[in-house]
This record gives sequence, C-alpha cells and structure tokens, in this order.
Amino acid sequence: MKVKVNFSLDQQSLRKLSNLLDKQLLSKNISYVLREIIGRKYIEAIMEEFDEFSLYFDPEDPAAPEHWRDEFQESLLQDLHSFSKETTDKISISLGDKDFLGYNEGSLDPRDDTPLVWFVFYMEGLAGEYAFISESLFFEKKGPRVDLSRYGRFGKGFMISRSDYETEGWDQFTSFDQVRFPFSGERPKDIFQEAWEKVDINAADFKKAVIATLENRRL
Amino acid sequence: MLNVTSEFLSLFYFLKDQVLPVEFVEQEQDISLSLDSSSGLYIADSVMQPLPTERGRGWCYFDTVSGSSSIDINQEQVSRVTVYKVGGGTIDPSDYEVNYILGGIDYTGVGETPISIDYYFNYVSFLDSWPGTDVPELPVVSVDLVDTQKVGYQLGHGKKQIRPVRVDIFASSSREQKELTEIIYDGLYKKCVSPLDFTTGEPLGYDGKFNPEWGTTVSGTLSEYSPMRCEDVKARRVNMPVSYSDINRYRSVVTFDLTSYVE
Repeated sequence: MKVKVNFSLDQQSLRKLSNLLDKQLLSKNISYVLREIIGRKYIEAIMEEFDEFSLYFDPEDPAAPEHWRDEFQESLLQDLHSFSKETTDKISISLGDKDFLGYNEGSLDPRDDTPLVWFVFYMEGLAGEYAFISESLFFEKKGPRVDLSRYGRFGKGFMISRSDYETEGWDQFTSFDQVRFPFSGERPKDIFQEAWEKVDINAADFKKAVIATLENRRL
Repeated sequence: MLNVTSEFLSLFYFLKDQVLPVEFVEQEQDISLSLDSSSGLYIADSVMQPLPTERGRGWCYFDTVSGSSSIDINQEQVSRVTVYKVGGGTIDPSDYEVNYILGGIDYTGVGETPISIDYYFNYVSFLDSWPGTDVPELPVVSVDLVDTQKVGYQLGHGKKQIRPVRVDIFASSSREQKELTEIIYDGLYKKCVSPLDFTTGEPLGYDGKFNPEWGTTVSGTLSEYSPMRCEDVKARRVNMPVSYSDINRYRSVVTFDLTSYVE
C-alpha cells in the first residue's frame, strides 16, 4: 500500500568524492532526482494502474474512477512533496500512505464523501454484491423528501448490499442487475506496489545529480 | 500435480486444520438425525448460525493431540463425532462413515437406527481464494498466493522460491476480527509449513468422507522440498468506510512471504 524510498548518501562511490562534494547540495540534487524524475515516473505508472479500474465502469457511472482522475493525480503530486525528507546522510520519499486515501485507522470520518475515499474499495477489494443507487434514481423512485445522508457516504449516491436492496423493495423499481456496482466482489489491487515494480530507476539520473554538485550547481 | 499446487494446498490445510481449529472450533450436541432418501445419509438437523456445513466450514475430521491443543493431521478423528441410537447408547464407529462436508453419517451397520449426534465443526469458513460475490456467513477467512519470484541461492543448481501470500479476514465483530488476526498471525510468525504429499488425494474425498489413503505418506515431508518458511509476516486492519456492508465492516489482512528452497 505504501512505497518508501530511503537513499543513503553514505555510499562507497560517493565516499571517494566526499572531499570534492558539498554534502548539502548533493542531498538537494539527489532529492530532486528522486522526487522530480523517479517520483514522477512512479506517479505515471500509478496512473496507468488507476486507469485500469475504469475498465470496470460505464463512463456515465458516477462511481467511475475517471471522474476524479485529476484530483487523484494532484493528490499524489502533493503527497510526493509532503513526504520528502532530506538530511546530509539520508533522503526519504514515500507515497501511498494510508492517510493519503483518508482511511487510516483513527483518522477515518465515516461521513466523509470525498471521491478519493471511494478509492479504498478498489485498493482493498470489495467482497459481496452491491447496488449503486445514484441520487437521481433515488429521488425518482423514492421522492425528494428523504434524507439521503442516512443511506451512506457517497455524495452522488450510495451503496446498498444485494440483500438490503431486495429487503427494502428497491427491486420493484429497478432490477438489481441494472444498478449493480461493477466493482462488486472484486479482489484487492495494490496499484502502488504494482506501479513501483514498473519504475525504471536509471543510474544516469543520479550521475546528473553528482555532476551538478561537482559543478556547484543545483538541479 | 504441479509444485505450486501442492505447496498452496499444504499452506491451505496448515491454516485450516492446524491454526484455526486451535480456537475456532465449536461443538453441537444432541442434534437429531434424519434419513435423507436421496443421499442415503442420516443428516444432522442443525439450526446453528453459521451453518456447520456451509461452504468453507464442515465437521472436524482430525483430533487434537492428547493433552495438547495441537492437531493430529495423520489420521481420521475418533473423538470428534459421536452417534447415538434409538433406545440409548452410542453406535460403534465401525458401523458408519462420516460425511464431513454434508454433515451426516452413512450407516453401514445392521439393526440399529441412528437418532442423534454430537460433533465439532469449523466455526470459520476458510476459502482457498478471494470470496468474490458469493460470501458465506461470517466469519470468513480466505488465503491466496499473490505472486511468485524465484532466485538463485547457491552456486550451481537450486533456487529459492518466494511466494507472497495474502490472508483476508472478514469478521462479524471487532473482537472477533482482533482474535482471528492474532491467531493467524501467531500461527505464521516464525513458523514453517511442512510440504504435504497429495499424491493419494486430500484429507477428504470428493464424497465428503475421510480419504482412507491419507496419512500413509504424509508423516514425512517430500524429500525434494525444504519446509516452507513464513517470512515478513505482517497484519493490518482494513479500515473501510462501509456502513452499508456487514461483510466488509470488520476486516483485516495478514501478508507474508512463503519461501522454500528447491534443488
């Protein structure tokens, strides 16, 4: 769920140059490589994995991840900067912390209906079978006077299990299959880990950081 | 059978028959038996929830080792099922076979009528893959191999196999979730799984009865395998916002690498 990169500056290849290098500048330049080159490659790979989730959904479906693609990507970029730490000995960068998706233990607000929190279903899998009832369907069938918030957390609709769907009589309005949530029953997919395995870490990028430091230049 | 299958089955039965039954076995007593004309079995009329014969559960077919909570996986139980006859007293186990999956007995003796039964059953539904849409009544635990990586470990031939495994826990309460997670974690942490020999089949046959060939070769591990080590065992709670879903409300996951050395 979370990928953390720790880069130690105490490496044999760098030790040979230690008298020539400004350690603080080197730390900043390598941090730049990790964040701006490798980190961005990583985010690109995450977004490729993210897009695979869209294959499950009709683009018109309000729960389709593509509706909040930009928001998700922007959050990743913010996360990349928020969780970058550098010292003269070590640089660490982490992405995909559970807090990022808003469902870490203790920090979860069950009333939260921000789209990013939906993503937990796709990451952790969703056992069972559910219907997604959009706001428009709800009002069409049940009338506008009902408080939608008591049904669930989604701003544009809510989820309901198949058994509740049948017990509450929704099937008299619309068959379950017509409103079945397409991710029902799907197994977990850790897109952060799968994306990380695709990232190509190129030694030449780090060489750029060392050369820039030798030239007393900041990347 | 491919190695990956026998390794996975060894892990599956290790968790199902040796780890979970230490705590998660329940007993039903004095349950009436009814003759089912289609199967010819005397079926137990259980009204227990969860139903003992639901998918992934079933009656217990191994005994505990005397004076210990560990499970003897080498032979069929002799103390987990007791059948009573009309008029009082028990029926000799040699006069019936137990169907552990359907939850009944096949009476092969003469002159007695089975009337009731005591048995132990697996409280947890244990599945060999992600439960998907058809989820048995909770609690449910599923185990799955996520991936495989093979690397060299010595000069010459031989390799180390690393198989990441994911165990998903679906509990019906917070307390049950914590207990299941703890039992599974402790059952794996710094433990080895013995590779079992499935060339004569699995412990139960397709008919739900104990496989009479089981145990003839299982006591020794297969020589070409090392024991499979459970490494990097981690447990975490899956804190999902699921007010609408009883199934996903109390979830956790245990992950680890199942590693072994193969010549």
